[in-house]
Amino acid sequence: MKCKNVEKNILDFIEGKTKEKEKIREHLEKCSKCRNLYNDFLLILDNSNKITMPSYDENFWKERIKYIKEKKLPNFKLKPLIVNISLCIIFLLTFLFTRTYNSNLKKSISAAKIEIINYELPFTEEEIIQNLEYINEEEVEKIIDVILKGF
Amino acid sequence: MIDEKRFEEYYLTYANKIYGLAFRLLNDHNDALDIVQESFFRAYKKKNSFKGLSKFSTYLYRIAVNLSYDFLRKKSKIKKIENLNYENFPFYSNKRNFEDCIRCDDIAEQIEKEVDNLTEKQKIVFILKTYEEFTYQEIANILKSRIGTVKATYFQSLQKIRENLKKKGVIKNEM
Repeated sequence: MKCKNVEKNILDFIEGKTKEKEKIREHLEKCSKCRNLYNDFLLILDNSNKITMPSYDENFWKERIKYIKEKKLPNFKLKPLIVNISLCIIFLLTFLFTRTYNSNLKKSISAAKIEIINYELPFTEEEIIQNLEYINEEEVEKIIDVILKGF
Repeated sequence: MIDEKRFEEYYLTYANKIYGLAFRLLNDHNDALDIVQESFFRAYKKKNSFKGLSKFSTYLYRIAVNLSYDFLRKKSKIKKIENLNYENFPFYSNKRNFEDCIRCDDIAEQIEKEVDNLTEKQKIVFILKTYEEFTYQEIANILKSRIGTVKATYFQSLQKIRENLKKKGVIKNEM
Protein backbone atom coordinates (compact mmCIF):
# COMPACT_ATOMS: atom_id res chain seq x y z
CA MET A 1 0.00 0.00 0.00
CA LYS A 2 1.21 3.51 -0.88
CA CYS A 3 1.50 6.44 1.53
CA LYS A 4 -1.23 8.29 -0.37
CA ASN A 5 -3.71 5.47 0.22
CA VAL A 6 -2.77 5.19 3.89
CA GLU A 7 -3.28 8.93 4.31
CA LYS A 8 -6.65 8.63 2.63
CA ASN A 9 -7.77 5.85 4.96
CA ILE A 10 -6.02 6.89 8.16
CA LEU A 11 -9.14 8.35 9.82
CA ASP A 12 -11.21 5.26 9.06
CA PHE A 13 -8.32 3.17 10.39
CA ILE A 14 -8.30 5.13 13.65
CA GLU A 15 -12.05 4.58 13.97
CA GLY A 16 -11.61 0.91 13.09
CA LYS A 17 -13.89 1.25 10.09
CA THR A 18 -11.62 0.16 7.25
CA LYS A 19 -11.44 -3.24 5.58
CA GLU A 20 -7.75 -2.77 4.87
CA LYS A 21 -6.64 -2.77 8.48
CA GLU A 22 -3.81 -5.26 7.99
CA LYS A 23 -2.36 -3.56 4.93
CA ILE A 24 -2.37 -0.20 6.70
CA ARG A 25 -0.84 -1.72 9.84
CA GLU A 26 1.93 -3.29 7.81
CA HIS A 27 2.59 0.01 6.07
CA LEU A 28 2.68 1.91 9.37
CA GLU A 29 5.31 -0.45 10.71
CA LYS A 30 7.58 0.29 7.75
CA CYS A 31 6.84 3.97 7.01
CA SER A 32 7.85 6.50 9.68
CA LYS A 33 6.17 9.40 7.85
CA CYS A 34 2.74 7.73 7.95
CA ARG A 35 3.39 6.43 11.47
CA ASN A 36 4.01 9.99 12.63
CA LEU A 37 0.81 11.15 10.99
CA TYR A 38 -1.10 8.34 12.70
CA ASN A 39 0.45 9.05 16.11
CA ASP A 40 -0.13 12.80 15.83
CA PHE A 41 -3.76 12.35 14.84
CA LEU A 42 -4.25 9.95 17.73
CA LEU A 43 -2.66 12.43 20.12
CA ILE A 44 -4.94 15.24 18.91
CA LEU A 45 -8.09 13.13 19.05
CA ASP A 46 -7.27 11.62 22.45
CA ASN A 47 -6.67 15.04 23.96
CA SER A 48 -9.54 16.82 22.25
CA ASN A 49 -12.18 15.47 24.56
CA LYS A 50 -10.28 16.21 27.75
CA ILE A 51 -11.66 19.72 28.03
CA THR A 52 -15.21 19.43 29.21
CA MET A 53 -17.76 22.04 28.40
CA PRO A 54 -19.77 23.76 31.12
CA SER A 55 -23.19 22.21 31.27
CA TYR A 56 -26.36 22.95 33.17
CA ASP A 57 -28.73 20.74 35.11
CA GLU A 58 -32.31 19.99 34.12
CA ASN A 59 -33.81 22.70 36.32
CA PHE A 60 -31.85 25.40 34.56
CA TRP A 61 -33.18 24.31 31.18
CA LYS A 62 -36.69 23.66 32.51
CA GLU A 63 -36.86 27.26 33.66
CA ARG A 64 -35.83 28.48 30.26
CA ILE A 65 -38.26 26.37 28.24
CA LYS A 66 -41.16 28.64 29.20
CA TYR A 67 -39.42 31.53 27.41
CA ILE A 68 -39.30 29.43 24.27
CA LYS A 69 -42.97 28.53 24.45
CA GLU A 70 -44.07 32.03 25.43
CA LYS A 71 -41.87 33.78 22.94
CA LYS A 72 -44.00 35.51 20.35
CA LEU A 73 -43.22 35.73 16.72
CA PRO A 74 -41.39 38.90 15.80
CA ASN A 75 -43.06 41.64 13.78
CA PHE A 76 -42.11 40.09 10.47
CA LYS A 77 -45.63 38.63 10.41
CA LEU A 78 -46.77 42.12 9.49
CA LYS A 79 -44.71 42.00 6.34
CA PRO A 80 -47.00 39.65 4.40
CA LEU A 81 -49.96 41.79 5.46
CA ILE A 82 -48.32 44.93 4.10
CA VAL A 83 -47.39 43.12 0.90
CA ASN A 84 -50.97 41.87 0.47
CA ILE A 85 -52.49 45.30 1.04
CA SER A 86 -50.10 46.97 -1.39
CA LEU A 87 -50.82 44.27 -3.99
CA CYS A 88 -54.56 44.92 -3.59
CA ILE A 89 -54.03 48.66 -4.04
CA ILE A 90 -51.92 48.07 -7.15
CA PHE A 91 -54.56 45.72 -8.55
CA LEU A 92 -57.34 48.22 -7.85
CA LEU A 93 -55.44 51.11 -9.42
CA THR A 94 -54.62 49.02 -12.50
CA PHE A 95 -58.26 47.99 -12.82
CA LEU A 96 -59.49 51.59 -12.53
CA PHE A 97 -56.87 52.85 -14.96
CA THR A 98 -57.64 50.22 -17.61
CA ARG A 99 -61.38 50.81 -17.20
CA THR A 100 -61.12 54.58 -17.76
CA TYR A 101 -58.60 54.07 -20.52
CA ASN A 102 -60.95 51.62 -22.30
CA SER A 103 -63.95 53.91 -21.99
CA ASN A 104 -61.89 56.85 -23.35
CA LEU A 105 -60.71 54.67 -26.20
CA LYS A 106 -64.28 53.65 -26.99
CA LYS A 107 -65.34 57.29 -26.98
CA SER A 108 -62.57 58.33 -29.34
CA ILE A 109 -63.36 55.41 -31.70
CA SER A 110 -67.04 56.32 -31.86
CA ALA A 111 -66.11 59.98 -32.45
CA ALA A 112 -63.83 58.91 -35.28
CA LYS A 113 -66.66 56.84 -36.79
CA ILE A 114 -69.01 59.84 -36.72
CA GLU A 115 -66.30 61.92 -38.40
CA ILE A 116 -65.94 59.31 -41.13
CA ILE A 117 -69.70 59.15 -41.66
CA ASN A 118 -69.91 62.94 -41.86
CA TYR A 119 -66.98 63.10 -44.18
CA GLU A 120 -68.04 64.55 -47.51
CA LEU A 121 -66.63 63.09 -50.67
CA PRO A 122 -65.02 65.63 -52.98
CA PHE A 123 -67.21 64.32 -55.85
CA THR A 124 -70.80 63.33 -56.03
CA GLU A 125 -71.80 59.94 -57.40
CA GLU A 126 -72.89 61.51 -60.65
CA GLU A 127 -69.62 63.39 -61.10
CA ILE A 128 -67.69 60.18 -60.67
CA ILE A 129 -69.88 58.36 -63.16
CA GLN A 130 -69.49 61.18 -65.65
CA ASN A 131 -65.73 61.08 -65.32
CA LEU A 132 -65.69 57.35 -65.78
CA GLU A 133 -67.53 57.25 -69.09
CA TYR A 134 -65.23 54.67 -70.61
CA ILE A 135 -66.15 52.15 -67.95
CA ASN A 136 -69.41 50.37 -68.25
CA GLU A 137 -72.15 50.95 -65.67
CA GLU A 138 -71.75 47.65 -63.88
CA GLU A 139 -68.12 48.33 -63.20
CA VAL A 140 -68.88 51.83 -61.98
CA GLU A 141 -71.39 50.45 -59.51
CA LYS A 142 -68.83 47.98 -58.27
CA ILE A 143 -66.27 50.77 -57.76
CA ILE A 144 -68.80 52.87 -55.86
CA ASP A 145 -69.70 49.89 -53.70
CA VAL A 146 -66.05 49.37 -52.89
CA ILE A 147 -65.58 53.06 -52.03
CA LEU A 148 -68.66 53.13 -49.82
CA LYS A 149 -67.74 49.87 -48.08
CA GLY A 150 -64.36 51.37 -47.32
CA PHE A 151 -66.07 53.97 -45.16
CA MET B 1 -45.49 15.21 14.68
CA ILE B 2 -44.00 16.04 18.08
CA ASP B 3 -46.35 16.87 20.96
CA GLU B 4 -45.59 19.26 23.82
CA LYS B 5 -44.41 16.53 26.19
CA ARG B 6 -42.05 14.97 23.66
CA PHE B 7 -40.73 18.37 22.69
CA GLU B 8 -39.82 18.99 26.34
CA GLU B 9 -38.05 15.60 26.46
CA TYR B 10 -36.06 16.44 23.32
CA TYR B 11 -35.32 19.88 24.70
CA LEU B 12 -33.87 18.47 27.92
CA THR B 13 -31.86 15.92 25.93
CA TYR B 14 -30.36 18.38 23.47
CA ALA B 15 -30.18 21.71 25.31
CA ASN B 16 -26.76 21.01 26.83
CA LYS B 17 -25.46 19.55 23.58
CA ILE B 18 -26.54 22.56 21.53
CA TYR B 19 -25.14 24.81 24.22
CA GLY B 20 -21.78 22.97 24.08
CA LEU B 21 -21.67 23.23 20.30
CA ALA B 22 -22.52 26.95 20.31
CA PHE B 23 -20.08 27.63 23.13
CA ARG B 24 -17.24 25.92 21.28
CA LEU B 25 -18.06 27.85 18.15
CA LEU B 26 -18.59 31.25 19.73
CA ASN B 27 -16.52 31.10 22.92
CA ASP B 28 -19.18 33.12 24.68
CA HIS B 29 -21.58 31.90 27.34
CA ASN B 30 -24.39 34.38 26.68
CA ASP B 31 -24.21 34.03 22.91
CA ALA B 32 -24.33 30.24 23.31
CA LEU B 33 -27.45 30.50 25.50
CA ASP B 34 -29.06 32.77 22.90
CA ILE B 35 -28.30 30.17 20.23
CA VAL B 36 -29.96 27.45 22.33
CA GLN B 37 -33.01 29.64 22.91
CA GLU B 38 -33.39 30.65 19.27
CA SER B 39 -32.72 27.15 17.90
CA PHE B 40 -35.35 25.57 20.12
CA PHE B 41 -37.79 28.38 19.47
CA ARG B 42 -37.53 27.76 15.72
CA ALA B 43 -37.81 24.00 16.22
CA TYR B 44 -40.83 24.55 18.47
CA LYS B 45 -42.60 26.50 15.75
CA LYS B 46 -42.05 23.60 13.35
CA LYS B 47 -42.62 20.78 15.83
CA ASN B 48 -45.69 19.50 14.01
CA SER B 49 -43.77 18.83 10.82
CA PHE B 50 -41.17 16.42 12.25
CA LYS B 51 -41.60 12.69 11.85
CA GLY B 52 -38.98 11.51 14.31
CA LEU B 53 -36.12 12.32 16.61
CA SER B 54 -33.41 11.99 13.95
CA LYS B 55 -35.04 14.58 11.70
CA PHE B 56 -35.64 16.81 14.69
CA SER B 57 -32.04 16.64 15.93
CA THR B 58 -30.63 17.18 12.43
CA TYR B 59 -32.87 20.23 12.03
CA LEU B 60 -31.92 21.50 15.47
CA TYR B 61 -28.18 21.19 14.85
CA ARG B 62 -28.56 22.77 11.43
CA ILE B 63 -30.29 25.82 12.92
CA ALA B 64 -27.72 26.05 15.71
CA VAL B 65 -24.83 25.86 13.22
CA ASN B 66 -26.37 28.46 10.92
CA LEU B 67 -27.19 30.81 13.78
CA SER B 68 -23.66 30.43 15.12
CA TYR B 69 -22.26 31.22 11.67
CA ASP B 70 -24.35 34.39 11.60
CA PHE B 71 -23.11 35.31 15.06
CA LEU B 72 -19.50 34.71 14.03
CA ARG B 73 -19.88 36.85 10.93
CA LYS B 74 -21.44 39.68 12.89
CA LYS B 75 -18.72 39.34 15.50
CA SER B 76 -15.94 39.36 12.90
CA LYS B 77 -17.37 42.59 11.50
CA ILE B 78 -17.41 44.13 14.95
CA LYS B 79 -13.88 42.83 15.57
CA LYS B 80 -12.66 44.49 12.37
CA ILE B 81 -14.02 47.81 13.58
CA GLU B 82 -12.49 47.21 17.02
CA ASN B 83 -9.13 46.39 15.44
CA LEU B 84 -9.17 49.65 13.56
CA ASN B 85 -9.84 51.51 16.77
CA TYR B 86 -7.16 49.69 18.70
CA GLU B 87 -4.51 50.63 16.16
CA ASN B 88 -4.48 54.00 17.86
CA PHE B 89 -3.15 52.35 21.03
CA PRO B 90 0.34 50.95 20.31
CA PHE B 91 0.66 49.07 23.61
CA TYR B 92 -2.60 47.24 23.24
CA SER B 93 -2.73 43.80 21.66
CA ASN B 94 -6.00 41.98 21.23
CA LYS B 95 -4.29 38.92 19.72
CA ARG B 96 -4.39 35.70 21.68
CA ASN B 97 -1.25 34.95 23.54
CA PHE B 98 -0.31 31.38 22.68
CA GLU B 99 2.92 31.60 24.65
CA ASP B 100 0.85 31.33 27.83
CA CYS B 101 -0.66 28.16 26.53
CA ILE B 102 2.70 26.51 25.86
CA ARG B 103 3.81 27.41 29.34
CA CYS B 104 0.70 25.84 30.83
CA ASP B 105 1.87 22.59 29.28
CA ASP B 106 -1.59 21.33 28.58
CA ILE B 107 -1.94 19.74 25.13
CA ALA B 108 -5.72 19.59 25.36
CA GLU B 109 -5.94 23.31 25.98
CA GLN B 110 -3.62 24.04 23.09
CA ILE B 111 -5.64 21.85 20.78
CA GLU B 112 -8.73 23.73 21.91
CA LYS B 113 -7.02 27.00 20.96
CA GLU B 114 -5.92 25.59 17.61
CA VAL B 115 -9.52 24.64 16.87
CA ASP B 116 -10.26 28.36 17.04
CA ASN B 117 -7.76 28.97 14.25
CA LEU B 118 -9.54 26.65 11.85
CA THR B 119 -11.77 28.01 9.13
CA GLU B 120 -15.49 28.16 9.92
CA LYS B 121 -16.20 25.01 7.93
CA GLN B 122 -13.24 23.08 9.36
CA LYS B 123 -14.16 24.16 12.86
CA ILE B 124 -17.77 23.04 12.67
CA VAL B 125 -16.85 19.69 11.08
CA PHE B 126 -14.15 19.11 13.70
CA ILE B 127 -16.51 19.96 16.57
CA LEU B 128 -19.38 17.85 15.25
CA LYS B 129 -17.09 14.87 14.61
CA THR B 130 -14.76 15.01 17.59
CA TYR B 131 -16.85 16.48 20.38
CA GLU B 132 -20.41 15.64 19.34
CA GLU B 133 -19.33 12.29 17.86
CA PHE B 134 -21.54 12.47 14.81
CA THR B 135 -20.95 10.17 11.85
CA TYR B 136 -19.83 11.64 8.52
CA GLN B 137 -23.30 10.97 7.13
CA GLU B 138 -24.98 12.85 9.99
CA ILE B 139 -22.62 15.81 9.59
CA ALA B 140 -23.29 15.83 5.85
CA ASN B 141 -27.03 15.95 6.62
CA ILE B 142 -26.63 18.79 9.09
CA LEU B 143 -24.43 20.83 6.77
CA LYS B 144 -26.31 19.80 3.63
CA SER B 145 -23.02 18.64 2.19
CA ARG B 146 -21.48 15.44 0.76
CA ILE B 147 -19.82 12.75 2.85
CA GLY B 148 -16.63 13.04 0.79
CA THR B 149 -16.47 16.78 1.40
CA VAL B 150 -17.03 16.31 5.13
CA LYS B 151 -14.31 13.64 5.33
CA ALA B 152 -11.85 15.80 3.43
CA THR B 153 -12.64 18.83 5.61
CA TYR B 154 -12.15 16.77 8.77
CA PHE B 155 -8.79 15.51 7.52
CA GLN B 156 -7.74 19.06 6.63
CA SER B 157 -8.75 20.33 10.07
CA LEU B 158 -6.65 17.65 11.79
CA GLN B 159 -3.71 18.37 9.49
CA LYS B 160 -3.94 22.08 10.22
CA ILE B 161 -4.05 21.53 13.99
CA ARG B 162 -1.11 19.13 13.68
CA GLU B 163 0.98 21.59 11.65
CA ASN B 164 0.30 24.43 14.07
CA LEU B 165 1.14 22.26 17.08
CA LYS B 166 4.38 21.25 15.35
CA LYS B 167 5.28 24.89 14.76
CA LYS B 168 4.80 25.56 18.45
CA GLY B 169 6.84 22.54 19.40
CA VAL B 170 3.94 20.77 21.09
CA ILE B 171 4.28 17.91 18.63
CA LYS B 172 7.84 16.92 17.87
CA ASN B 173 9.11 16.89 14.29
CA GLU B 174 10.24 13.27 14.21
CA MET B 175 12.41 12.03 11.39
